[in-house]
Amino acid sequence: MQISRRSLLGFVAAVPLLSSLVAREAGEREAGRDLVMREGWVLRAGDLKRVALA
Amino acid sequence: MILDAEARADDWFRDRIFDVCVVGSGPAGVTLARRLGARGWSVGLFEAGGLELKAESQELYKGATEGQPYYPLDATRLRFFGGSSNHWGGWTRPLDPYDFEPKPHHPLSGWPIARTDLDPYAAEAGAILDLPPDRQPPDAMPDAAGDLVPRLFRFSRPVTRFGEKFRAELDASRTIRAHVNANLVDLRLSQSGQTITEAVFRSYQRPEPFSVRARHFVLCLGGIENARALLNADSQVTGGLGNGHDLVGRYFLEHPHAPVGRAVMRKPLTWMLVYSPTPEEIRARRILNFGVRIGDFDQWNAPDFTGALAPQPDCAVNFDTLLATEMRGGDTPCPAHVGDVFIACEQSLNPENRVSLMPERDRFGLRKAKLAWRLSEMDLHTLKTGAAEVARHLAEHDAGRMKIADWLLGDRLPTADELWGGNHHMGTTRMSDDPAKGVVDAKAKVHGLDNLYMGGSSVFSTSGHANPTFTIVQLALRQADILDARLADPPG
Repeated sequence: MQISRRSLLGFVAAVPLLSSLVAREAGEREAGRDLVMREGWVLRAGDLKRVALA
Repeated sequence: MILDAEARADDWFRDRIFDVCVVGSGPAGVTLARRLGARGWSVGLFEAGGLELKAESQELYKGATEGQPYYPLDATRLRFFGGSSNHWGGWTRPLDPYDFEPKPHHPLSGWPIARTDLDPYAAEAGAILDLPPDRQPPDAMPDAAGDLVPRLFRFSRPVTRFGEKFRAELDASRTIRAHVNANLVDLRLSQSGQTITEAVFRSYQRPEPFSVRARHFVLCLGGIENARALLNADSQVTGGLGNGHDLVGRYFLEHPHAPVGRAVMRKPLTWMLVYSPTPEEIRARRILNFGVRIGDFDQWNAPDFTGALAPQPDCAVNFDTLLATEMRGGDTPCPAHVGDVFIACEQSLNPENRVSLMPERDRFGLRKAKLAWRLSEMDLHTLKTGAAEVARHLAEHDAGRMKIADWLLGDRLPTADELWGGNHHMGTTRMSDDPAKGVVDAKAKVHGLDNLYMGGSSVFSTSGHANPTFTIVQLALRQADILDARLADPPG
């Protein structure tokens, strides 16, 4: 799924709590219990590496 | 006894005055009639349809809709003995206590009664609806003292069909005189304009109307038809009865229902999970109440669903592999660990969401209903926040991971395949102590009229997220107590 910047902005405007997740979509921060969003999945930082190996 | 209005003897009605005339034989009408009849009051119970579904009755429910895609008005409710309980799915839970409280961010919210006014009727409502005992709601995040709380639905199984369950009792009753094929076509006022003197009915085969007199009248026709009946009762009052503030039919409420994602869970799903926001979360995020369900959509829509999910074989695959499989769109090796995520939410109060009348008339000369139903910014904000909050909680507490549905990530309105109503018609004669903000008062009596009451979910001031039937039955039991007291000790 490709998330357009416009749709992300719309979503973020409606749901401020996910603004940080969107910022981390690009993998800016992946540490501790931080959350990231990837293709609509809300994940814990570190999930992506483990899933890639699974 | 149960009689057919087609075979009525008009002389009988001419000489009688019921203590209470109840119009409509769904959960509200039957519950009210039974309780009043048990107290010894004479009750006339009038059902527009027959004992079975028939086309000529259902035809009278035809109307139009506009806005968000909605069901045809002659499909979203049933017009025969037992009313819409005949297609009820059996889902119940009470409204939450904070559903009754006003919210600063939700104009007009708040009921003039509290949950504690309905709590005394919970046990009897449970017995009427054949509900299992209450129990602790299942919880996948028991250590989370967060913004979401687990909730429980109880299921009427087999589903209580009021016409079937209580038919023999009503037929044997010496105080309740039920009539089928009796279509309400007018309510007549006294010269003072404050008292209903008679309800006028028509049957299908006989052209002449017949009038029923009673000390009190209660309309229990459902959330669309209650409003339509008041608006059509304009033979003496322009704009219809109880409509001095142009409120009848306005503030229609549904429960928007939507699939909002898919979850992979660390532990197998053995029971449908439900999460709702705390009252603090509702206020802080300026949202409405909601219930997010996690489970198997096909199972929970089965007619025998009780909340428990079908047992599955043990899963020997680790969580990362399960998640990877889902993220790649593969078939899961462990179905018990994967669930649909679905939301049903409260709807905001919008005067433009309404039942109004069209110029087109039915066979009895009554104008047909048009239903306008649209989603507000607050409704969409609630849907998106609900999905996001559950996704966040699952990840933060490492109970699972959730993919949020595509449509929630965009700016467009959902299609008919992405969001629908629950066939819950509420709010069209809403309850308020202020006649400028509601059609009925805290006793469900129409403002400005001495003896006309509304029953059912049309009186809901707000909708909460809970399916409405349990609250409808609680309100009907309370209504019977209100009328019982008034009949026993009429005001001087």
